[in-house]
Amino acid sequence: MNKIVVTDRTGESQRFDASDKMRILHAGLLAGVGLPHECGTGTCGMCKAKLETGEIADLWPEAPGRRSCRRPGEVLLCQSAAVNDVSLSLRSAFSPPLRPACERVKGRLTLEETLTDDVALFRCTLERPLVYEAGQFALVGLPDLSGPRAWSMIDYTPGAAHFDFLLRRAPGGGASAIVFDTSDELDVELIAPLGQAIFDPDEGRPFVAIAGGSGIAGMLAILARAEAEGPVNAGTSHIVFGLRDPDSAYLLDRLDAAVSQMNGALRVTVAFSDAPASALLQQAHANLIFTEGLAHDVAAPIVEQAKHGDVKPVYFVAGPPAMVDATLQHLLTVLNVAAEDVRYDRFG
Amino acid sequence: MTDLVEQDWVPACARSEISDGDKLEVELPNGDFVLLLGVNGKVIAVCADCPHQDTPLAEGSLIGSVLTCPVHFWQWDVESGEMLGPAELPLPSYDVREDAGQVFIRPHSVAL
Ligand SMILES: Cc1cc2nc3c(=O)[nH]c(=O)nc-3n(C[C@H](O)[C@H](O)[C@H](O)COP(=O)(O)OP(=O)(O)OC[C@H]3O[C@@H](n4cnc5c(N)ncnc54)[C@H](O)[C@@H]3O)c2cc1C
Ligand code: FES
Ligand code: FES
Repeated sequence: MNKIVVTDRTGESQRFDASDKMRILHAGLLAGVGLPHECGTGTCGMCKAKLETGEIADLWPEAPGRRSCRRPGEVLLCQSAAVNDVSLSLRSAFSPPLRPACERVKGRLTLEETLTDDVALFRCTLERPLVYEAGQFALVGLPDLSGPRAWSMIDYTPGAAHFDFLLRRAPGGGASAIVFDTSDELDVELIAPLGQAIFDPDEGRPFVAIAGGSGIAGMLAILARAEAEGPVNAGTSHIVFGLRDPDSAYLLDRLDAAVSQMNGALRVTVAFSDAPASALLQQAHANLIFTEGLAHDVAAPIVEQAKHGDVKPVYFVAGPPAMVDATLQHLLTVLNVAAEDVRYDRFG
Repeated sequence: MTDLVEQDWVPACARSEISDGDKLEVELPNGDFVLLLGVNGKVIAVCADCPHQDTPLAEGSLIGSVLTCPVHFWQWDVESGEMLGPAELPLPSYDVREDAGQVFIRPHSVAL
C-alpha cells in the first residue's frame, strides 16, 4: 500500500492508502475523501491535481480529460496509480465526502433484454446490496479492459443486491465489444454509487428530465422513485426523450405505462430528430406525445411553462456530451433557468 | 530611465485573433493562463480557470458579456465584474491594452 497525501488550496490535507493497482481518485473516494471529480473515467478533467512528490503511473496518457492539465506536473487522479508514496496538491478545495458513501463490490453481469440492435438491458448481480440514490451511476470494471466505464442505474431498488443498466453500443467501443458481443456472464468489479444528478422526492418538487438516447437510463431510476414515492401534489413532471427516428426507439411501452400509472402527474414527450412518428406508433402509445425536433428545442415550451408553475421544478439533463451541452446552454442562457435547479450527466 | 509600467505589459495575441464572442486562452511568460474574451468591440482578459474548482473557462460559454463555467454554471458579467447566478467568488481580471494591432496584458490579476 502506498501513502497518499492530498492538500487542497486552503491548505487542508487528507491522507489515504492506495495500492499500485488502484486509481488514486477511486482509492480516495472509497476512503471517504472529497476529491473533486465528475465522470471518474478520464473525460471531464475535473480530477486534476499536481504531483508534488513521489511517482505515479499514467494509466491512460491519451485521456481526453488531460486537456485540463496545462501546468507542469498536473495529472488526472482517475487515470493515475501511485508507484510509491505520493503527495499531491489541488488548485481547488475538497468537495464534501460522497453521501451515500461509495463502496467497492464484485458483481456478475448478464444480458436481460435486447431492445434494439444497439441498445440492451443488463442486470448486474452484486455480492451484497448497496445504498444509492435515483440518478446515480456506478463505475464498472470489465475483465481485460483498461479503465472502468460509468453506467447509470436504471431502477431504484436500494435494498436489492443488483443493479440494472441500459447500455448503448458505442461503435468501436471497448466495453461495447465485450458486453454486446459475448454471450457469457461477466465477472465485473464496481465502485458505486457516484453522481450528483439525484432526484429526492423529499424536496417536494416536480422534475423536467431531458434525455438524449441512452441518457434516459438515469431518468428511469428517477421515474421509478417518483412512481413509488411522489412527489405528492407537487405539479406535473415531464420527460423529454430525444431519439433519432422511430426505428431506433426503445422503452416506449415502459414510458407509456408510467404516464398511466402516475395519473396526470407525468407527461412524456418523445422527440425524433430525423423522422416523424407513424400513426401506428402513436396509436400504440396513446399516453405519449410524439414530435419532431431536437430534445432541447422540443423541451423549450415545456420548460417555459414549468418555470411558472407553483413549485419550481428540478431539471435533469443526460446523454451524449454535445446534446447535454446544447441543452444546458439553452436552459441557462435562453430560458433563464436558475443554475442551482439544473443537474446533469455528460455520457462521455 | 526605464519605464517600469511600460515594461509590465506583455504581448498576448494579435487583435485580429479575437472577434466579439470569441474566447482565446494564452499562457503568459510567468505561467499564468489568461482567457481573452471579445466583448462589445473590446478585448477583456480574465483568469482562465474557474475560481470554484479550477475548470478551464475556455470550455464555458460567452454570451454577450456573460461568461458561464461549464461545470456548476458560475457566471460573471466580465464587463461590469458582477457575479451572476450561483457564483460565490469574483473572477480575477487583467488590464488590457491594444497597440498597433497587438493585444497586451499586464500580468497582475485583480478581482474584477
Ligand atoms: C456519468 C456517466 C453515466 C453514464 N451512463 C451510461 C449509461 O447508463 N449507459 C450507457 O450506455 N453509457 C453510459 N455512459 C457512457 C459510458 O461510460 C461509456 O462511454 C459507454 O458505455 C461506451 O463505452 P465503450 O467502452 O464501449 O466505448 P469506448 O469509446 O471504448 O470508451 C468509453 C469511455 O471509456 C473510458 N476509456 C476508454 N479507453 C480507456 C482507457 N484506455 N483507459 C481508461 N479509460 C478508458 C473513457 O471514459 C471513454 O470515454 C455514461 C457516462 C458517464 C460519464
Ligand atoms: S473524474 Fe477524472 S477526468 Fe473526469
Ligand atoms: S468549476 Fe466552475 S462553477 Fe464549479
